Amino acid sequence: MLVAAIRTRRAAATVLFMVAVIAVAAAAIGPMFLQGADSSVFASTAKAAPVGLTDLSVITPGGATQMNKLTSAAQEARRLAHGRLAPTIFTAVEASYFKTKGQPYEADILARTRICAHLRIVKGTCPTGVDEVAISERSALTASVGIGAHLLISEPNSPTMTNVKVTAVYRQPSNVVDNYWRGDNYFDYGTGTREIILDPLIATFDTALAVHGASPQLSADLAWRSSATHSGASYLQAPTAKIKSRLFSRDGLVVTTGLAAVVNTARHDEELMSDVVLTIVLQLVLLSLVIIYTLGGAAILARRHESNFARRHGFPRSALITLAISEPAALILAALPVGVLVAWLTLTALTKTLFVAGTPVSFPAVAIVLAVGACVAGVAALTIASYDLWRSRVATRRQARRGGVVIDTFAVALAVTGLISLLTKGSLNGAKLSPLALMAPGFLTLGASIIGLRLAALAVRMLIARTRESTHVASFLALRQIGRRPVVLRRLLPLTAATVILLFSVGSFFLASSNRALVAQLEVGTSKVADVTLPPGLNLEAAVRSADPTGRAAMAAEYYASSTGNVLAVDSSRLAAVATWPRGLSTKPLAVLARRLSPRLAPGVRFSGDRLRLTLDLSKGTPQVVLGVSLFDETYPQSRTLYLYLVGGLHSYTLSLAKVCPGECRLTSLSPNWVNPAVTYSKDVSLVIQDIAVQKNAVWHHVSFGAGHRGTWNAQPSSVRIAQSAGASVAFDIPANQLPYSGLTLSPIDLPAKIPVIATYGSEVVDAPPNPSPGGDIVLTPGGSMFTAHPLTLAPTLPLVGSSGVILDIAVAQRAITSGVTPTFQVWLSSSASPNILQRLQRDGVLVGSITTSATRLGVLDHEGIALAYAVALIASPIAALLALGTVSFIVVTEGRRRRRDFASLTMAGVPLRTVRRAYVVENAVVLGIALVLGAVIGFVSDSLALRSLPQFVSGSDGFPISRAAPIVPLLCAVGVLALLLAAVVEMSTRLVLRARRSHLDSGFSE
Amino acid sequence: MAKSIESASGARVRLSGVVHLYPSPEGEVVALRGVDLDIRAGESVALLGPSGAGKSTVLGLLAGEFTPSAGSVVIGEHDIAKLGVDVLSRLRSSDISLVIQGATANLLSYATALENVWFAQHGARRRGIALQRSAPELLELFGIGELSDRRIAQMSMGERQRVALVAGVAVLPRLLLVDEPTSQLTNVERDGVIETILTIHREFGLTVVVVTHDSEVASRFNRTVTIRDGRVGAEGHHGVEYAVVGRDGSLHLPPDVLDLLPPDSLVRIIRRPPDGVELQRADGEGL
Repeated sequence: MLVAAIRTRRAAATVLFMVAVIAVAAAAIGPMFLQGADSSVFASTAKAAPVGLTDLSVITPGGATQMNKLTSAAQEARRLAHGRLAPTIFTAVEASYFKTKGQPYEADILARTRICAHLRIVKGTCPTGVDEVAISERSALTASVGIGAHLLISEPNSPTMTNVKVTAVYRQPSNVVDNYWRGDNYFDYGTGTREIILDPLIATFDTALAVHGASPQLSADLAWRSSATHSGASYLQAPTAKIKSRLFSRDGLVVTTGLAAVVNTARHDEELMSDVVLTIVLQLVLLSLVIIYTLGGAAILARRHESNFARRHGFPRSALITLAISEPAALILAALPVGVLVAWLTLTALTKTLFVAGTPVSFPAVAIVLAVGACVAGVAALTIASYDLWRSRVATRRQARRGGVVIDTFAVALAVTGLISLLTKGSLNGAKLSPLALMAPGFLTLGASIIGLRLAALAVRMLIARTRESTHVASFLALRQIGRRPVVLRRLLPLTAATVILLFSVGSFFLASSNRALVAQLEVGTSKVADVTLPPGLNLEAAVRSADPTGRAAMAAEYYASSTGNVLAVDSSRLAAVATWPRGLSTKPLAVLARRLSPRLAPGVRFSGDRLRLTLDLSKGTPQVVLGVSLFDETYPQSRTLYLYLVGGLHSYTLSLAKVCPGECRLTSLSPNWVNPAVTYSKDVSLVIQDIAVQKNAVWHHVSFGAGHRGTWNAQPSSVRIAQSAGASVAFDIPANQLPYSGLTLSPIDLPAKIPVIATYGSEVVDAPPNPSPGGDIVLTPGGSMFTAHPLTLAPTLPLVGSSGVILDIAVAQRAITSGVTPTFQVWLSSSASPNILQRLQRDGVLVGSITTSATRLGVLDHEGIALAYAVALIASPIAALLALGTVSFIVVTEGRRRRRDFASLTMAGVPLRTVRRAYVVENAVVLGIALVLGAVIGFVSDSLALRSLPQFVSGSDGFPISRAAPIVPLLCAVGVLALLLAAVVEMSTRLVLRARRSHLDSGFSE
Repeated sequence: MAKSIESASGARVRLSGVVHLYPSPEGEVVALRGVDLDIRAGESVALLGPSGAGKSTVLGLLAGEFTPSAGSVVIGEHDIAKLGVDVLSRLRSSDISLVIQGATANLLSYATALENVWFAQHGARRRGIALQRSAPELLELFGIGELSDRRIAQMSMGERQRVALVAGVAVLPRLLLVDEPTSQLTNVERDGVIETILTIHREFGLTVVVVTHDSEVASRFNRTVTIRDGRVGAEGHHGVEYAVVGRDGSLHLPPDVLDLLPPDSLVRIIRRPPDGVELQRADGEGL
């Protein structure tokens, strides 16, 4: 009989079954999604983290014996990790020194697994034997070393030397942040004072371990395979803990990993995501239960006579309940396995789109538990909805009204609670989401919908009174039909609720997506940024201008990352065209700011040639002074310091510029100091620059150095007096007590007193207060270079630089930042840049390293937990809307079919069929239109309130000018689509009902 | 546990001064104005009267569907108005059965005749009440055994009504209440249905109360009680007709008698001691 009953009411049964399937699927998919998403978020977080952070490093100092222990430890670690670790990369590095032509150089001896495969060998062959080395291109140039040269290398403070032979010249990597180098930068070229630091000498492990009995720093990098990071944090944490406990402090081994930091970051993201996903799932389940409740209410009429039949035959209460719920309960139970299967299939289909590639889809037991819970809740909802069928006495109208008022009051109370929570706390509560506030839109929907529907019923009654004398038959009939059965309006609650959920999901998804795109572009700086290395003598700014004559596609940049603040030096003439600069980031347009970024620079003391001659007059009797002459190679941005030993009296001193400044050279400073630090001399020292000249092609040329002009030289500290003589000289009176101290510099003034910059509110400055304030100058110290800057504007964040840093002109930066930090050379490419630009640069000898794109960064952000949560919302909400639409359609059609006789009566009374049809269309349009308008209004209001406080993304939101306003266009599109669907429902139901009406009329009134 | 009404097959039914009001938007409607009716155990009674007279209201009160606004409704020893919901429900499962107007309203259209009768017995079964006849036996007994496996939706109206009646007596109640059993039936079907009711009455000695507007149908039963304007107007026993004197002294006459005595007619009252009364038309003709 149960099967027969279901078959008789198959339409209603089908709708109920589908709703139950979706409710079960919604409940089950939550835990399944979260498990997969946790793995994906962790994988994404690990990928976004600095390279190597999640990996293990085993470190120890030592020689060959220790190397053997390290090798064994690495093998044991790989065994403990059950194949999850990639092949080990071993490294041995030892400081060493050598001299050529009297100039000392410092260069590490570096051996690393498969190193030659990751370096470009420009000349010769990779060292394979003992005592063979490879030298970098720029080091070879600096030290005047070529293939076949022998170097005597020694440890610091050790007389023992080892003779090594240069067998290859290599070009240093442009970028060490990759899977091989893992962020380890061994290529610290060009710094240092007396000993010039070169790139490392590449050697074999035998060489590194055998060099003069060295005890190099040994390390084994144990990196996780990419597939391991896709399986979640616990997949890595367990073996990591095991490895650490086994190897830590054994045989002098130290095991380090940054996995915990990554796990913590991922965990925070996962928690945010879990809250949002669970809320979405709960709202979907809640909507499904509301729909089930509504369907139950609609089905009561069809089953009342069965219930009355049973009541007339004295069924006990338990039998009445069983009768009332057995049919729908059977359908809901049948939906359980189907719903779980649908959830699993849906997630499997969406995995590739939502999650990081390789993320597995699992089936946690809690999914089944929640699915069963959804079934139980559905049966409970139906039991409540069918109360009239199993109550002992048939409810009076007053009792039914009273019950409705109680339910409405409860719903309104929930709505008010949610609204207050949204307005006061918002969704972010100390970075932890408030579940109540997240559920608030759902509560607000229910309460506002109920109130709205009651008001709509009131409005209909008022309209009925006003249209008493109306001659428009269709609308006259339609209004009265609606007014007669206000319960029809109530059954629209699921559609209203689903509209609100749809709009909320669409709004949050599109808002979050657009904000993520903005963040990605700002974090990268522009559409594409290529890290490059330059051949000696190439000016990057000039090269880029040549490669992109339009000035709108490419921009040269140098990025200085230091612990005291990041600096982005750019070709300011192209900044406005190439860089990402969202509206509202600054009060003035970027084009205006960029023009002011490049001030007129004084020429400085600039020259180009083979030899430099300084004619200096040191006061007689002065102890021997060593003068550091700092030169900056402008064509290949690099600082070098050469030394002159001065004696008292007027003398000329000559320096070779060969291999130091092959192109344009600029004198940045002169630094005098005692040769003998222990000397005691109390008189002031007078040092006069009489002349500076450069020899080119054997001809000496005078170099202008600002003699005779005020304000062309600067001395630090300020106790040094500067006298610009009437003649062509510059004189310095140095207090004797300043000489023993380093930092005494005499510099030509080739920078403005205040360098124009674009700064952030969080820029690190040396004066108090510690951050810039509007209108005030700041002192910056990137990498130890110090200068005064005048912020043209303050912004919360800057492209690439972030929330703590500045942007300034590249030419200015090259003069201002001359020590302490080596820049990363970059070419910025806008979205319209042609691939030919990089090709032209490569033809000029530029080596393109890693390329970062905003699209790639966006891909990472799109896989963050909260992004996944919004994606789930966007997927789920149309399903909810269609579900509600289908349910309402079904109710409309069944209600219409019950009124067949009404329509027949009307036509028999002489009302034309087209008028009847029009009346029915108007009736349905008004009813569904009320639901849509109500849902849209509540949806817009809800979005405006809730979106302001929902998390857009986990990290990086500080300072980004993200939008918090509801995105109007997507919302209007969603409402438009829903309106079209509702129009289709009206048309379809009219055809179905009136086609049935016609056949009913034909067959007479027989039942 | 409620006592079964009586040890006899049928139940005695007594209505005393029953008044019933219905709430309506225009105010309360008086459906019954003081009905006094006494039905003996095992009697078959037809309640006859025009639409709106209150016949179905009487039936509903007897079935316990609602309680009277005043007066008492006693079936056997039980004042129905004072019974609790559970006790009433139990009585319905064993002693009182109501077959409402419209055969389909008493049946599950998607089920077979056998399933319907079985369903009607389910309440008793759940309460552990022993059933005297099984569903197939009942269908055979009333000559519709061949309909056992046919779905209600596939039957004619007459067949449906007969099945509804069998379902109505599925638990062999003491009191069978039937509302308009012959509406929308052809003459042949009507006769079949009446015959079924009479068979039920004959076979099981139930007290049967049938509501009808058809005097011909009413005449087939032991007794006809006319309900007019919410009160018992006339009685008939096997062709003998009585007019019932109301509590207020009013007398409702059958319609054909009313033709002879139009309103405002004078009727002479002649006392015939010791306790007789004769009514005479004022023109001297006997009534």
